[in-house]
Amino acid sequence: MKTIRLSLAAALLGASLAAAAPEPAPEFTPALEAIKSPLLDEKIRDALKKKLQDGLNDPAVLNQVLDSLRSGAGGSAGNIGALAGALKNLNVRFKAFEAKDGADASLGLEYSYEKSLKHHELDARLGHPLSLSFTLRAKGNIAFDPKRNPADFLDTGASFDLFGSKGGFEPVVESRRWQTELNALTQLASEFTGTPEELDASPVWKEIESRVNAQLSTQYFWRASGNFSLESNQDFTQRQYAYGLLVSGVIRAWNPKSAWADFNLFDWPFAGLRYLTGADSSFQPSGHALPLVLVGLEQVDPQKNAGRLALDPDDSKYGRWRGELAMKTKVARIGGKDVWAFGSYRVFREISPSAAIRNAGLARSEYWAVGVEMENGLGFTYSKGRLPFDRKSEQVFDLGYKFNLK
Amino acid sequence: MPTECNWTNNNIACVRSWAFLRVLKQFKEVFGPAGKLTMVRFAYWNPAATPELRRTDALALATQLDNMFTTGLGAKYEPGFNRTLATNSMADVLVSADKTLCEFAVAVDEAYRFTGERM
Repeated sequence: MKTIRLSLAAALLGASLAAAAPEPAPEFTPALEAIKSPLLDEKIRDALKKKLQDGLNDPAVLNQVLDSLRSGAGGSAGNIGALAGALKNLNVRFKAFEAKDGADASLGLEYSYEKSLKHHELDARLGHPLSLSFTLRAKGNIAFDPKRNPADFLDTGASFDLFGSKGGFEPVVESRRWQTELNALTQLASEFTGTPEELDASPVWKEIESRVNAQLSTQYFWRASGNFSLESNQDFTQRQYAYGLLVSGVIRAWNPKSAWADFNLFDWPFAGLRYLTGADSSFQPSGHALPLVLVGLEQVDPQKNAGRLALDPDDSKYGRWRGELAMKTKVARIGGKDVWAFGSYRVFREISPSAAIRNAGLARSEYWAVGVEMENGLGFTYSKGRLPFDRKSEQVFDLGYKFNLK
Repeated sequence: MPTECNWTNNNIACVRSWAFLRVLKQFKEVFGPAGKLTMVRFAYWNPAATPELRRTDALALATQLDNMFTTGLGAKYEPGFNRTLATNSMADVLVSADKTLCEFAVAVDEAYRFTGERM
């Protein structure tokens, strides 16, 4: 453990010094030794300590260290290698939580973990795979000062998933020849060094697209999940459990000539924009942009949901319906970069709510978010509505708007 | 079994993952820089979707790729893998915002043996 801490501090110091000075970053170990040296001028020592302290409070520097630990999975031995291995399925990013009252931002973590642990093949027939799996997940924000966490909501859960798919790719008649030729073509395309547009226009890529698209068909995918969720704030003083059945599905018309693509009415306005802005040479709705759908029936145990219990002291379990619709599609291509529009709509409706819950307007909650993002990550999201449970989010959503600039 | 991320067109899993995902319009990058693309840059990634719905989308994409690898390219599963494990392994990467295409190719390399791949 000591090794990790020393490496972390050394890397932080190195990253801070590198950011402060134009010359290359000094070796970490001598820099640390220099701090300890009594011969070093006290001012320089203080400056180095301040840099180290700044680094420890800077999410960007900490993320840089985290990335170096993760990328060290292959070659590093000892504690760093072990830590990197453990981090393989865990996404952790340091972030600064902006305080509403103008106070200093608080450092914290955003984390997510999702991994399927158990699998069983129920039907391996070609074109109709049917699978069963068990998946764990966790996602949330943790501020080192909990009072400054504006997104104080952790979702931890597990699900048994039964999923199946039909269609998507038609078998090739002369499969061996198709494989050999496509392997050669993709190998050739991988050696291309021009721009994406030049690759699209190249005979090699056109040939690949032509051959693969000829085999692509419409995919029908569905998933039924026995789902369990623990929704809580970061110190678990507020929490509730939800469990039930979620059914979701999507149709993906991978072949651009599919009727599902042509008549994807959801994408028609965006296809019009793509055509007008020159991103598409013709009015071509996308079969990749058909919306995803989820419906579910859940039982909720509000035993520690203080916000709800303050309105209705009855802490018995209640049922709720939930639904979600989401889609994403390209809207334009500007300066050689794709621009995407995305959105989602969620609704939760309590079954047989009490008068207190109904009068407080909590029997039904709706939330929608729409946004635009560019290929380089620039974009914005506009959201409105209220999600069940999280008290702070409820306060934010009750105000009506949430506007994020990424 | 590969566990390290090495983005090179000498690796069949890297080339096939890149080519098929590009044909499926998940991104436009040419091979070289594509290895560093993170999952949030894929066309399928909807920032507004819930994790439940995102996994459904990821599983659909992974199932489609599995179909293309096995039916189209004649790829076989590595020992210990089957369709369910392979699609879930790919989906586990697809739902991880910070994972790269290179890391996705590692999951593909672990699950499939492609024609022409060295033992």
